[in-house]
Amino acid sequence: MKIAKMVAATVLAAFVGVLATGGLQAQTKEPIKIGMIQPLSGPIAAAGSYITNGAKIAVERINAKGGVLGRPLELIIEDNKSDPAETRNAAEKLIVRDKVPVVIGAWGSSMTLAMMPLAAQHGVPLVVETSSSSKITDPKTPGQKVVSRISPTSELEAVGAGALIPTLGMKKIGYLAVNTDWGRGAVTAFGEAFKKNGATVEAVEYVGQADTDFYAQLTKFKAAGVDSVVITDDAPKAAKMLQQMKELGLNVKVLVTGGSAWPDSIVQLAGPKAAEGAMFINFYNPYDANMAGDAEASKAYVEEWKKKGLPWIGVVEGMRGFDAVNVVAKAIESAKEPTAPKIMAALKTLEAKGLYGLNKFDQNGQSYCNIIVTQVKDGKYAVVAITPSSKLWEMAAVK
Amino acid sequence: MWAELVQHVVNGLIVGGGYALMGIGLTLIFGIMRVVNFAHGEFFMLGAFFLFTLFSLWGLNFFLASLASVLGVAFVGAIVERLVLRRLRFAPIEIPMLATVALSVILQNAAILIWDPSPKTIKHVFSPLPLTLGPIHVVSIRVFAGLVAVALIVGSHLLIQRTRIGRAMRATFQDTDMARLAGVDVDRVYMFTFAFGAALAGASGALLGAVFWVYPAMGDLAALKSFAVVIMGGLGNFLGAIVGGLLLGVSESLGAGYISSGYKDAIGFILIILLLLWRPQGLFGKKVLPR
Amino acid sequence: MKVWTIAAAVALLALPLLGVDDYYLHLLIMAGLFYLLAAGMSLLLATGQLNLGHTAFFGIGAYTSGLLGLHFGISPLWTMPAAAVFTAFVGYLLGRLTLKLRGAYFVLVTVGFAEVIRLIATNWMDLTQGPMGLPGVPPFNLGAERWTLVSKRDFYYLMAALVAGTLFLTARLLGSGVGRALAAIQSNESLAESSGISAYSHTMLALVVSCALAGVAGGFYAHYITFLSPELFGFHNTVTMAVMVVAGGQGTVLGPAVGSLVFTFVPEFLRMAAFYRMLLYGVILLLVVMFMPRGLVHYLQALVRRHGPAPAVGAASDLSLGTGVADARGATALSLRRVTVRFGGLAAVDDLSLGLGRGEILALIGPNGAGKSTAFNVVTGFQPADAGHVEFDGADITGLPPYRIAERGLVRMFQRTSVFPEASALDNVLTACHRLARTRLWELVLMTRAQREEEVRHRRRAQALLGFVGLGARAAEAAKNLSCGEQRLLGLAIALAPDPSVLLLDEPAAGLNAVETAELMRLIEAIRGHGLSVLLVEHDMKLVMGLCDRIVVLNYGVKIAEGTPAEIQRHPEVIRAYLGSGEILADA
Repeated sequence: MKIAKMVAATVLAAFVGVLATGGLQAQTKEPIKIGMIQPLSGPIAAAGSYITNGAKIAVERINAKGGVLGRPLELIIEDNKSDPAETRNAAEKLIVRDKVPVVIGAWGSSMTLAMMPLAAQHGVPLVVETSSSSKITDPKTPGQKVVSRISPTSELEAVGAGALIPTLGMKKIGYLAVNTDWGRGAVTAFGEAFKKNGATVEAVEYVGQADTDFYAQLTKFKAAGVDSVVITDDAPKAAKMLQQMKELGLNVKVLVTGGSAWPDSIVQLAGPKAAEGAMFINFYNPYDANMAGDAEASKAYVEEWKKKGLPWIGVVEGMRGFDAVNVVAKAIESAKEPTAPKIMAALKTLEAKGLYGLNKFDQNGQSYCNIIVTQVKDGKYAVVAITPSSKLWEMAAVK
Repeated sequence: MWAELVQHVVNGLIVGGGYALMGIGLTLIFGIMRVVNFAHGEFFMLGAFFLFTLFSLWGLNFFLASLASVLGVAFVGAIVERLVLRRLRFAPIEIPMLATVALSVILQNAAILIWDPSPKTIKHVFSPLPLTLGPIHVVSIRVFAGLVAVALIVGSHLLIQRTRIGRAMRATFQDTDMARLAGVDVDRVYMFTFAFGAALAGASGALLGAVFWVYPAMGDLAALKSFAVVIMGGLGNFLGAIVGGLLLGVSESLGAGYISSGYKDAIGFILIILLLLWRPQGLFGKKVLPR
Repeated sequence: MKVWTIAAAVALLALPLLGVDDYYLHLLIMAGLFYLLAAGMSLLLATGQLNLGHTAFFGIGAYTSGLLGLHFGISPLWTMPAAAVFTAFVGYLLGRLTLKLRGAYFVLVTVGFAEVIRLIATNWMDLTQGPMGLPGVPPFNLGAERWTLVSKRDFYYLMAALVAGTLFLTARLLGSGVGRALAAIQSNESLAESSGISAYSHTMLALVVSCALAGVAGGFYAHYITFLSPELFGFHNTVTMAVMVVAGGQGTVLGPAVGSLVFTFVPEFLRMAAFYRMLLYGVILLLVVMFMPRGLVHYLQALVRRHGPAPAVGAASDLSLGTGVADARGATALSLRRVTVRFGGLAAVDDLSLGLGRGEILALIGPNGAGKSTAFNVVTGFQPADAGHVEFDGADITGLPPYRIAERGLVRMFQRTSVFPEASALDNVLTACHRLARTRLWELVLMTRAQREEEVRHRRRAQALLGFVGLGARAAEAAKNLSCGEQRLLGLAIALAPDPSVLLLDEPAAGLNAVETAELMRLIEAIRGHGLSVLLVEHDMKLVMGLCDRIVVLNYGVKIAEGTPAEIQRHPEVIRAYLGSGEILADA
């Protein structure tokens, strides 16, 4: 009982104490604070950690060069536990309490959508680094007007990769997609592109986020006689799918969309034999700095990633955080003032060369990045084709 | 057409074996200790991570590492029982349940901190090329996993039926007070039961971690499935857990293959709800009359 | 405690006016939201049933209100109540299917139910847009454009109103006969049923109310956050609610409130622990569960050291026993006609017929295993009969559930589990007065004059009954603290509380000494004096021979003799059945 009373008193004291210090926490005027919301726990914690690390590398690099407007940049990172309601809580803290002038986040599309109305209500710009749902830059969606997105939509991916499809010889496609907004959006977008280019999607199978066994779906594909399999899912799942395809004797062409799976990660997770020949739609090439918009930054980023001993398979995801921070920094510089309205205005007219390509935003807040098709050739990373972001901007201008 | 059906069934049986192992552990813990173990998925996860650390990081022999992993999880289970569950033994059912919920949060987030959240593969010693039986393809690692699961199930059965500690467990399951009066060290039985249940989950995790891959949240779905298995088979029923596990594995495989993979996970639960409406005590559970 | 509560309430209401940061208002709003959910869960948990699928109802409420607003443009003023009603209906359906399950089975089925709902929400793209989510849910519009809630302060006061309403509702339910009935069901379900409390009806009531609350919470969420996605159905939400309920203090009104405040703010404040946040959260939770298993509220109360006087009962009223007897029809109060019960191939009760006359004391005796308890179980509805009928007051009651039989005036006192251990002696008897309650639920919630008067009447009667059995001075004592003999007397008072016309006593003298047995005989005689008929099972031959008008003897489920005590003592079959058992048949 005595322990019980002590614990109760401690909990009460902690509660009151943190309430008090929370209110009293003096905001030091020196650093410029920017907010970031990512999944740091829960099922998607891996992606969140890559992006956060990429962001931190960018912050360190900027601060080493003297910071922004002569002040160091400070990144306040909040965990959204891979959940939309938690994203809202995190956004409340960053926007309402910490009063950051800009927020980067929140990885998943449903998480980003959950905080957009709040950001719009307070006039705080959002830089979206990963989410792919077209709803986020749709003018009908509440909060869209504060969004600047550097990551591509599935539609853009499909446009960028579309021309390749006939050359790949994909005629009868089996599509494996994760049952989230990302997977479903990709199926729609790529379905259109495949149809336009003369291929048919024989079967679409959705898999759960935590699923590990795809035998049922792959057996179905085999029975349907597909000659290629398209996958929209993260690297571990895609690797498993490739392995299981080999195990079931389904030896067909494979294309993985979305940017997170890439040759090195799949070779590491599935082994070179299973990964051989598989193709990927990526947005960044860590081996060729000149493909990125800013070669110097790309080199520095990759070096720092290696130096810190971060998992190599995450280097193509970490760049999202890296670019997002750089975009924000550039916007603050050109805004001359770290306030939300000025930063929002600066973002609208921003042109920043980054690892994604040329980061700039159309009337809906969407940027167009490099679309790179890569492949595992002889167990190694190889580039098949690239639609550079400049080309996509041209196409957009013509439209 | 037949080939496809048989392939689905074979797939389902192997995964079902893993479910069965999880289910046996959970049902023993509930049957003997009256604890609903919400940390069961985390023991599953620890088994996988221990194997990864011992084999992939420290280079220990694969089979030794597997054994050591299972023993390691058993050890963790024993500590948990001794330090946490023992003092909550006489509290109403939701208290130890909540304690295991807290433990699952602690274990999962500790795993994120100790090993990072990046997914890891265990490059096991088995060939990735499939063995073929006619049109049926199955990889050696899965055959290994299936065989080990069967061995563990049989071993558990023998342990419970033929050994002293097994007799003590059965006595405690039927009537704790009487067992105590008959000289059974109930404290020891409880600790052993929890450690044993955890070890089975850890074994399942190590096996499935080697077949698939390893990451901190991998226990969430496994736990949910093991609850389904245990309800189907009847709480506390050993045979029920085995049948339930295999049944769940096969029905999921068939469901995903022939109906829809989106609703695959729901199939198990819908089956359970239907089953319980028909037989509230599960397939093999015993009906209890008021006295 | 009341002073503290009022002070806290005033302080909380004044917060927006004191210029507190909107962020904290948001946290308080979320805490209030979770309070609505936790309060509902706690209400159902009062019956002993833990619903770990509660988040499904939250999500159903949110989607219902959100979709109605999105597609039909109806104001939340209407969609929120609609969501509450629909969610309550879904809860009703679930209850119909699952409430016969108990304990861990119920818990696991509710988990499964929530998973199924989550998968439906994720995959039924046409209705819910699945994982894409539903952005653009219309904000809170109370009928006219200018009455749209926009600022945090508006939402805060709306939530405060909902919280206040829920506090009032749960306080009223838990503090009245309904609360006593719920606690009785958790504590000793068989005894509750025998006292006329339908476990099913009350559990269903708790479930439906908890679902309605979840529906309201969901509706509020939909129009506050204005974005919906299937993560709402995730198990982690239910875990949060369960933590708030159990760690807050289960079975109390303030428990869920304290729990929701603490466990909304703690994880938020742990943000400063950055990457250790969730780990610390788990550790704190574990410590609370291990060292404060009864919940924070209990220990906070202990800190404040409240020692209020037990509420005064007032003068005892008269017993009003046997009031229904005068209207009873026929000379036979209870009869069994050819009742047979088989377990497998064995007939526990074989073709048994007997009749209990009005005002008679009849004993059912026989060696152990003769089928006496089984016969009792059949009469009181706890055991179905394979053949035969039971008639009570001229009506066939075979197969009726126990609480219905109790409602008609046939009450049983159990052999072993005869009290509600945690409640006071007075509350034990008071709970059993349930059958006599005439006020309706709405009167109970609103505390009308009629309800208050009835409550007082029942309390006085309960005190009188305690005095009748000799426990008048022990009214405030918890039942588990009474001695074995005292608990037996309490069990008798509980059995008398519903004002039965027939009383079934199952080995009332077991374990009593000679003095206590004599007192018991005197009491039973006094009970007969009020017009009741008594059927009892007994082994104590002194009591049986000294008290009963007639005796029926059972052996191996078959009636082998029936007659007056004198006749039975000389009956050769009876002597043979008891041969070697060492029983003394003749009265010394």
